[in-house]
Amino acid sequence: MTLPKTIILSRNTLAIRGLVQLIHVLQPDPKIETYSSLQQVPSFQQNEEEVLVFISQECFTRNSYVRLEKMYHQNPRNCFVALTAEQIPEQLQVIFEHTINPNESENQILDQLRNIYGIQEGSAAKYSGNTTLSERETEVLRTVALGMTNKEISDTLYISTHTVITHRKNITAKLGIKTIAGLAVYAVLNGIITADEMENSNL
Amino acid sequence: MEFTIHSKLADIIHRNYLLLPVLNRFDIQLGFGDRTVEQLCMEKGIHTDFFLVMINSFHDHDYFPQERLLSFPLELILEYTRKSHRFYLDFKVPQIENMIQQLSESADAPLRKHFILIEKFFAQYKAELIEHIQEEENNIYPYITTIDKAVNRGTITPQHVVLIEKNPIKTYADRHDNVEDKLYDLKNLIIKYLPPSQNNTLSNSLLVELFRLERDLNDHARMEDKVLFPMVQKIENQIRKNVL
Repeated sequence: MTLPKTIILSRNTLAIRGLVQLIHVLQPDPKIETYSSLQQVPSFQQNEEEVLVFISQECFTRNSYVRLEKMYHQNPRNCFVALTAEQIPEQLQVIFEHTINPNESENQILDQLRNIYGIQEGSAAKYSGNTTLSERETEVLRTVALGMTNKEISDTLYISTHTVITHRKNITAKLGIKTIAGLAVYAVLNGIITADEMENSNL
Repeated sequence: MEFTIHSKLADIIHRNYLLLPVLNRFDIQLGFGDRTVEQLCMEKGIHTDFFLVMINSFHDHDYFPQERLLSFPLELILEYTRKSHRFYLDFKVPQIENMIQQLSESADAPLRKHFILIEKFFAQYKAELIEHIQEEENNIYPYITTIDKAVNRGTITPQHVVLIEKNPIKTYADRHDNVEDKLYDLKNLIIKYLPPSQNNTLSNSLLVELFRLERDLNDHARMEDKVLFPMVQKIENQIRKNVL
């Protein structure tokens, strides 16, 4: 298998070198780009191949939150991995799907990388093509497909609108469907709502 | 490698057949013989430099000489985007619509139910695209032509200032929404989620057409966002300065 394109963003030359070397263990000739500042990273296109983005903790400065979020939204299929031994700042938690602690042993990090790249069998990583929604996500999808607003969903499922938004982001990333009309079609195809319900949902 | 004035049209199409609809936007049809870009543009009265930049930027997405594009006459850009609109509405969209309908008609009852969903979804997309294009052609482009003329002819009046203050292009550019999102979804619905169809060949062709349309639209949006709208903003600023 070929690994997806990988971007490493870190100011730490040794960290970059080390990570590149470990990724080479997984595959001889991976596509890797490295950057030392957020400004240098080229913007992603929505219809591009998915990219795996490793971002080191020194880039989690307050000034970079907006830029990181923007980068995250450019293509929902991209997967972000935090390189940190510390807690990820709350604002950035939605962005990162995985965390690698650079202080772990080489073998542990290799295992994590295999998991992230979906090389391990039965792994639940993004690249293993696992797009099953969790039970909660399916509930949220149902309400979205019925045409409910975030506020209505929050009232119906007794969750905060913030949580609703997070679920919606994850659903879109997992399914690769962005519009409400598209999610509704998916929901009917998968028996989450009926065609009649869709008709009546004034979408 | 970039195409130049010396490139032969035939070679260009051999290298990238996706450029055919772009050539049509300049009223160039097949049967080029051995004509080069320079010869053909001379014959047809086409702005050679603009033509070259357009085919090169469509051919290679990393090639986008924004400065040079911004120096072309605005009417050339409008003419080009209008022609692209026609291509989408008169040709591409009906073609895709037809394919979906054919797939739907040739499907068994259970699968047909699903294709009807796709038909409806595409109908929604089409309605949005038409609305988007009409807004541009009926409101935005005439606005652009009006203020462009005023600046070129030096006939700026206070009304023009009212016009640009009331509806500056920025308001439109900011909500220049992504009709592309639905197209992206449609592709994924077909690639990943629709049960396999008996008519493989047609499904494949449909998907290929969706990819082509998407690519063309992305290119189109880039021209509008990165060239047309900044040009208009410049004209608006000229009007403001002129009056102050």
